[in-house]
Amino acid sequence: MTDESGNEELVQLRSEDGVCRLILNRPQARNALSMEMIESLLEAVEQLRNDEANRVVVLEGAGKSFCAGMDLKGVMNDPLQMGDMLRTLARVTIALRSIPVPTIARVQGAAIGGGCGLCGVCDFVVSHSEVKMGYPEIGLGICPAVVAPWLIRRIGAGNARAILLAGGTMPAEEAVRMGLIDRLVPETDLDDEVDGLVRKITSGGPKAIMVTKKWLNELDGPDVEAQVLKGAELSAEVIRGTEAQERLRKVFAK
Amino acid sequence: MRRSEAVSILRFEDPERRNALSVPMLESFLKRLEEVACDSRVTIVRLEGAGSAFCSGIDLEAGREDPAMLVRLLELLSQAMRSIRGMPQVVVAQVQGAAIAGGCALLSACDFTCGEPGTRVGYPVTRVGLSAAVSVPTLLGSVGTAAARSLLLEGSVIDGTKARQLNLLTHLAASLEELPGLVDELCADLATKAPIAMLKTKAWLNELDESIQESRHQSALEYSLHSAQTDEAALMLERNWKNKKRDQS
Repeated sequence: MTDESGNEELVQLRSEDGVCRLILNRPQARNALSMEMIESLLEAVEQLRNDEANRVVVLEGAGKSFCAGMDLKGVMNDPLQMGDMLRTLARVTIALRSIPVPTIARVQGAAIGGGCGLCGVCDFVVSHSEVKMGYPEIGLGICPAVVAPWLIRRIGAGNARAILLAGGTMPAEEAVRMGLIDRLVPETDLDDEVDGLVRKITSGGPKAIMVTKKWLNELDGPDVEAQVLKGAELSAEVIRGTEAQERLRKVFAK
Repeated sequence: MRRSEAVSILRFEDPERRNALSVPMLESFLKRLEEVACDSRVTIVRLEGAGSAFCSGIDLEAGREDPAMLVRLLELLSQAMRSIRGMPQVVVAQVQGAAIAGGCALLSACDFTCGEPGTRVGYPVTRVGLSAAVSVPTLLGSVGTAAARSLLLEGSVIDGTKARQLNLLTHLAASLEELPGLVDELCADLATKAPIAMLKTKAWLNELDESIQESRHQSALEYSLHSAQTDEAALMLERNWKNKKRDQS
C-alpha cells in the first residue's frame, strides 16, 4: 500500500469481515515512532474512534518488532519537537482507548517505551516468550508521564510504580506476572492465538461488548484524559532539560 | 544514618525490641527523613531495621499504659507513611523477618520492598481491638482492593513468598543471607538512572494514585484513632498484655 506520493504508508489500516488491522509499518526502524508516524497513527486511530462497523481492532507492527518506542534520534537537536511528539502520542493513547470495540496488541520482538505504552492502552496484549517489554525512560532522563495513567489503570498503582521507577526492560514471564501481557504463547503460535481471541470476541454480542467497553472506559474516571495531557506537558518539560538532553546525546553517540 | 554517594541508609536501631516504633524513634525517624529529603545529592533512600526483624509495629505496651500515647503513636505513624511516600527520592525497604502492623504500614509507603522467605508481613491488629485503616492510602495502591481487604479485615500474617505474590514485596531474595546483596544490586541499578527523571516520575505517580493526598491520610488516621479510643481496644490490649506476661513467666 502506498500513499499519494508513492511512499509506503507508515501506518496501515486493513479491514476485513469486521476485523481491522492497524499496522505500524516502519519495519526498517523497528517501527520506532517518528513524528510523521505518530501523526499517521493519530489520524488512523481517530478514524477508528468513530467507526462502529468493526468488531475488533488488532494493533500490530510489521517486521521483527512490534515497536521500539519513540524515535528521538531524528529530532535529537530539537527538544521542542520532542515535546510535540509526546503531546501527539498522548492524543493517540486517548483516541486508542476510545475505540468503541475491543483492541488487541499483537506484540512480537519488542515493545519498548512508547511502544509498550501503546500496549498498556489496549484491551488485550498477546505476546510470546522471547519478547522484550518495558519502560527504560528514566535511564534516558525521560519521564514516562504519558503512559503512567494508563499503566496504573491496567496493572495497578504498585506495579506501575515498581516498573516505571526501576526502568529497563523485563522478560515475558515478569510482564505476565505484572499484568502487562494477557496471553503468552510460543512465537510460532502468536497469530493463531490472536485469531482465536478475535473469533472469541466476534462471537459475542456486538452491542453487549461495546456497552461493556464503554462502561469500563467510563470507570477509567473523569480525569484520565486531563491526566494524560498533563503527563505530556510534564514529560515535555523533563525532556528538554539538561539531564535528558545529555543522556540522550550519549546514547545516540554510541 | 550511613551514606554512600547517592544512597542514604536509614536504619531502625532497636533490635532487642524488634524495632518497635516508640515516640522518640518515630520522631527521630521523621527528622532524618526531613534532612535526607533536602539533600539533593541523595537519590535513593534505603530503609533497614537492625536485628532479626525489620519492624514489629508501634509500641503497644506504651500505648496500653497510656491511651494518649497510643494516639500520639498512631499520629506519628501516619505522618511517617506520608513522609516516606512524599520523599522526593525513591525509597527502598530491606525487610528481614517481621514487618508487622505499623511496620507493614511503613512498608506499604515505600517504592520498592525487598524481602526474603522468612519475611512476615500483615496487620494482626484487630486482635487487640485496633484498626489498621491508617495504612489504607498507600496499601490500596500497592496490592489492590481485594488483597487490601483481606489483609486488613482478616488480620493474618503472611510470609515473604505470599507477600511477593500480592506485590506487597516488589523483590524476594532466595534466602535471608542473600537479601542485603539483592538490595545492594537494586540500589546500584537505581543509582544509574537519571535523578531528575526519577524524581519527577515519582512525584507524578504520587499525584496519579493519590497516595499522598492529605485528606485521605487524615480520614484513614481518624478511623484508626477512633478504634484506639474505644473500651474494646482498652480491654483487648490489656488482655493481650496479660497473656504475653503469662507466656513469659
